[in-house]
Amino acid sequence: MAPQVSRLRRVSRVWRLGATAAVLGGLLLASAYGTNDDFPLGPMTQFAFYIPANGGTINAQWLEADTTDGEHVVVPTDAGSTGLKRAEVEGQINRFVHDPALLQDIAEAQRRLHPGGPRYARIYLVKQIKTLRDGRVVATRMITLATWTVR
Amino acid sequence: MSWLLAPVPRARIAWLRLIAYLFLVVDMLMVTSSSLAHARVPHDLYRPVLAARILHIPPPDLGVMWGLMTVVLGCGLACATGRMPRAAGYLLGFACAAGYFWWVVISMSYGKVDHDHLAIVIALLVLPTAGPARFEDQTPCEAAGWAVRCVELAVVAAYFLSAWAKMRFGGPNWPNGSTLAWALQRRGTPPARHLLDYPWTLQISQWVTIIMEFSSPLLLILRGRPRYALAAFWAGFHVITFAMMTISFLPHAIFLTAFLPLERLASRTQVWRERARGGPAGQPVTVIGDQAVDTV
Repeated sequence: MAPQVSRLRRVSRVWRLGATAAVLGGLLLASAYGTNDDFPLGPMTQFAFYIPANGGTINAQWLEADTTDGEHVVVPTDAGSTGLKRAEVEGQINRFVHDPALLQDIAEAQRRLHPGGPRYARIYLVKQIKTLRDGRVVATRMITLATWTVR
Repeated sequence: MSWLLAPVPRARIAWLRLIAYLFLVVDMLMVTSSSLAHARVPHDLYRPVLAARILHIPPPDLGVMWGLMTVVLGCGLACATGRMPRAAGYLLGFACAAGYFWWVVISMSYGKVDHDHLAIVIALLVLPTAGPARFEDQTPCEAAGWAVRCVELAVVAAYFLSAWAKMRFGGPNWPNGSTLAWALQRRGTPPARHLLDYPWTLQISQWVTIIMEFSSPLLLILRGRPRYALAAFWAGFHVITFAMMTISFLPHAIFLTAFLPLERLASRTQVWRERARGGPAGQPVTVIGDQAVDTV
């Protein structure tokens, strides 16, 4: 005994088809011309870049800090530590390079998230550059992009 | 057109709701919990994405974010039961979807956008439109069919558009490059980093990835076992990428379940219940209406 199929009325069909077409159209447009700014419709840019196997570089940027305890630490890369993930620091990297005073915000967020722990006294924005040959890393160098003495 | 509205049993909506709304708890507490951490960051670092600017979403406040999470999870868990009357289901479901949208937009507005949230955003929007749905209700229903199809489309779009973006931004030579080496150098797990010594394995992986991403629309076309096998491939793909670089893609991956005949679980659980009661163990149990339609 096959149960009766539950059908949609005309109005219900029309808005569903319209909504589907609008969202699919938006997705396709965003993939063709859009940027990550168009979230959640934007292009799916994860890993969508080309790194040449010969002469290509693998860059990573992160934060390090001198603490009030006199230690030099790598600032943890999860949002629970300073409120920003590594990818978010990298996503705003140009702002930090041009205006290192923004690193003060990182120090303040760390203080709020870990009120009892040692504080950051000086923060370093560092960049690691690995160079590839035949798909293998053949050289690694580090540079400091910005430093900030915490107020 | 009829393909978009092809009826599926309401029970599949009931299961998808359970999966989606229970996962929402995991997502808000673990995957996008940065929305809470962001509320402690000075507002200078808030870089609102377009949707946040259009909707005038302000920088997050800690109290507001906790409140938002409570409301979204409360509405979601109420919807997970599938016992809401139609109007209440719509209201709570859309409140949940809207609140979650706010939450996830905050999560993406600090300089990094993740791409694993399309399916969950779409699922939360469409699942309330299917109306009341019980786990034992095998009635084929067009409203349920549309909701399921939308989730399936979102899952496939994420794969297919990933391949498109790789061609758009990386160019046709993308699979011959060292993008996977880049990923492993930056966040590879210790066992996966061994592969860095064998770059050809990474290039093969890149070819497999791009070919499978471009072929992902097959998920919408295939039926039966080939379809389940392809869904299983993608589940395995996400397990491997998690093992190699701790990228889970979970808010997307759990919706691979939309491709499965979840409605059959009801009869299975009935068998288990019979067995637990010491009933006719191993005997087939008659379930009226089960598989009465070709499950798509």
